Amino acid sequence: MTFTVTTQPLPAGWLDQDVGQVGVVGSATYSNGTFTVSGAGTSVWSTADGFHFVYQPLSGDGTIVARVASVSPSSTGGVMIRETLNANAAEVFPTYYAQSTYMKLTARLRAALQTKRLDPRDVAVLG
Amino acid sequence: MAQTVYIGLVVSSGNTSTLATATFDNVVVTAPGPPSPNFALSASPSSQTLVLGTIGTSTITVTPQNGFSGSVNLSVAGLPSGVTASFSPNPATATSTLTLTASSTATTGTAAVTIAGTSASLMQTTTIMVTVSSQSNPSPVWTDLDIGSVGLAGSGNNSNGTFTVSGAGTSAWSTADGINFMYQPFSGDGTIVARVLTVSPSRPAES
Repeated sequence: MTFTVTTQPLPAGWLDQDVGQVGVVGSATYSNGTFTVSGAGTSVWSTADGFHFVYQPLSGDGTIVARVASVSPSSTGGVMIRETLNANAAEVFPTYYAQSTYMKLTARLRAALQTKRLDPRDVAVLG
Repeated sequence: MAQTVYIGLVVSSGNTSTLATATFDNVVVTAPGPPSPNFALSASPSSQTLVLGTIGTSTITVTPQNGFSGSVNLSVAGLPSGVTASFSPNPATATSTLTLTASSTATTGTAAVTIAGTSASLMQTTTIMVTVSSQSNPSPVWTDLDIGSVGLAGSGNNSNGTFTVSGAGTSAWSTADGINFMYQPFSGDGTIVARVLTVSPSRPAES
């Protein structure tokens, strides 16, 4: 059994855990209005995700607004609403990929389906 | 109750061997607040028939919801003229007995009577259909039957409350009777009151 002692716990109501295949255990801290989230994982795409999630359970309608202040090179950060904490859950994920410098929208419309992606590059190709 | 979903912040390095870090600020989550305490109001029975000069009762039930722990003030509106109502207890926290009293001069007919319960800023209502009638309950069912040795079939008739019963038979005496019987089944204690208006002049066998 491992106990993790932190001096900067998440604010009341917030939880965090790894979702899906991550390989390395993630973590999250909060200080002065900034959440710092560390996570490995297979990212959010295809039929199953791997990432670190800082979240609140939500019943009924709700919204989340956040600014991605920074993200490690070659990684992804964003806000998400998902149906369950399973790797293959239905979800919607507006995200910022560090290497591409623009937002994308990834969605899995039903559990275990392939994700769908709205990518401005695709729009450019179509347009 | 809505399904629970999960809303929050994501980071992924895109591989299973290194950690990536993202920082988020200006984070705002909006979610509906917890359901607020309230109560439901119901009445049983939800319809009443009152004969002039009688009373009827109905049980008013207060059902707390979402942790409601207050007491509810009960009131009534829409009573027919000549009908009065009282609650016991009032205010109520669980159940209250509503007693409706119809005076002998109450207005007959059917009315929708609204029971209102208030507690601070909350109000709930329920409805009781109240019928005021000048008649007692519908006449019970009468049956006519020959009992024992009668020889001739008897009969019974009820015309506006005057019963005409005809029968032969060995009369009611000794170890077995022969009569015509107009009756109704009965359970529990009861009485029968009647005036014998006429009876045929034939001489009873036992006298």
